[in-house]
Amino acid sequence: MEKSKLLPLSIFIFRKGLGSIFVGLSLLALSAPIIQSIFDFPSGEGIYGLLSPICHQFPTRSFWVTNRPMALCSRCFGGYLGLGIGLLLINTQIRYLKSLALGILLIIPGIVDGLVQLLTQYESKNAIRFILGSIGGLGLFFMFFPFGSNSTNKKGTK
Amino acid sequence: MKQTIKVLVIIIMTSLAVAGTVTVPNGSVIPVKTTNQLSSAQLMLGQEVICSVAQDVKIDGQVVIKAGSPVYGSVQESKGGQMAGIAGSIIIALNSVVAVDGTNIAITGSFSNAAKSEVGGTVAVGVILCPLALLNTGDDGVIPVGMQVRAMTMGTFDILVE
Repeated sequence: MEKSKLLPLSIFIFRKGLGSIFVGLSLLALSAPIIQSIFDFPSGEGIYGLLSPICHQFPTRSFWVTNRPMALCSRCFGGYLGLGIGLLLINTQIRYLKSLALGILLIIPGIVDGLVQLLTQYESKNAIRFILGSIGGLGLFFMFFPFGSNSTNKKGTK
Repeated sequence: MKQTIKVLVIIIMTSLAVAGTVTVPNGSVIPVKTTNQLSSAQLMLGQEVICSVAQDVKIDGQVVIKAGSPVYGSVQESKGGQMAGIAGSIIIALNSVVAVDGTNIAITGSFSNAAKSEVGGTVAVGVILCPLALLNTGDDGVIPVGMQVRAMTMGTFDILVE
C-alpha cells in the first residue's frame, strides 16, 4: 500500500479506536450501578475502583441509576462521552487554528461553571454539569484531534 | 372523659394512617461527606469521627435518611508523616447512620488517604548533599472537608416514615 494512503488510514483507525475507548468508559460508568443492583454488592465495585483514578465519583455530583450513583460524576461522564462521540462521528475539515479556537471556546463554559462552584456558594446541577462536560469533551476533540478526521486526503477523495 | 378518649383515638388513628414503614434493603447506597478536615496528625486509632449524609436517601419516594444526618465512623488507621520523608496515611471506617425515626442503621464504607511518599528524594538528598535532609518528615494523611464516598447499608431495616 502507498505511504500516502497508509498514514490517513492509520490515523483513522487510531481515532476510531480512541473514540471507542472513551465511549466505552462512559458505558462502563453507566453499567456499574446496574450490575450492582442486579448482582448485589460487591459486584460492580471493580468498575468503581477502576474509574476512581480518573474521577472523584462524588455521589451527589453523579447521576443515579437504579438507586446507585454512576461510576463517573456527571461532568466526567459528559466529557468522556463528548470526546468519544467527537472522535467517532465528527469529520472536521477546518484549519487547525480555527479548530483550536473553537475547542477553547467550547471548554470555557465548563471551566467557568466549575470555578464559580469552587469559589462561591453556587451549586451547579447535574444536568448542567453533564451538558457543559459534553460540550467541553467536544472542545477537547477540536483542540487535540482535528487532523486526519477521516481516511480521505486533503482533496477529500478516497 | 369520653371526649378526651375520642380525641386520643382520632389522633392515634390519624398518625397511624399517615405514618408508614419503609424497608431499607441491604446494600442501599448512602452518600456520606466529611464535615471537617480529618488528619492523621490530629486523630488517633479508634477515635470516633462524625460525618454527615450528603443528600436525602429515598426508598420508594420516601425519605428514610435526611441530608445532614450524622454518620458515625472510627479511625481504623492513622499514621503521621515520619522522618526520611515517610508518608502518613489515614483510614476512617464508617459504622452507622441515623434514620428519620432515630433508628441506627449499620453501614460499611470508608474514607482513606495516603500522602505522597518523599522517601526517594529525601534519601537521595540526604546521601548526596546533606545528611540533615533525612530529618525531613513526610506529609500527614489528610481527608479534606467536603470529601464524599458511597456507604452501603448492612442488613435490612424497617424505618417509620411520615
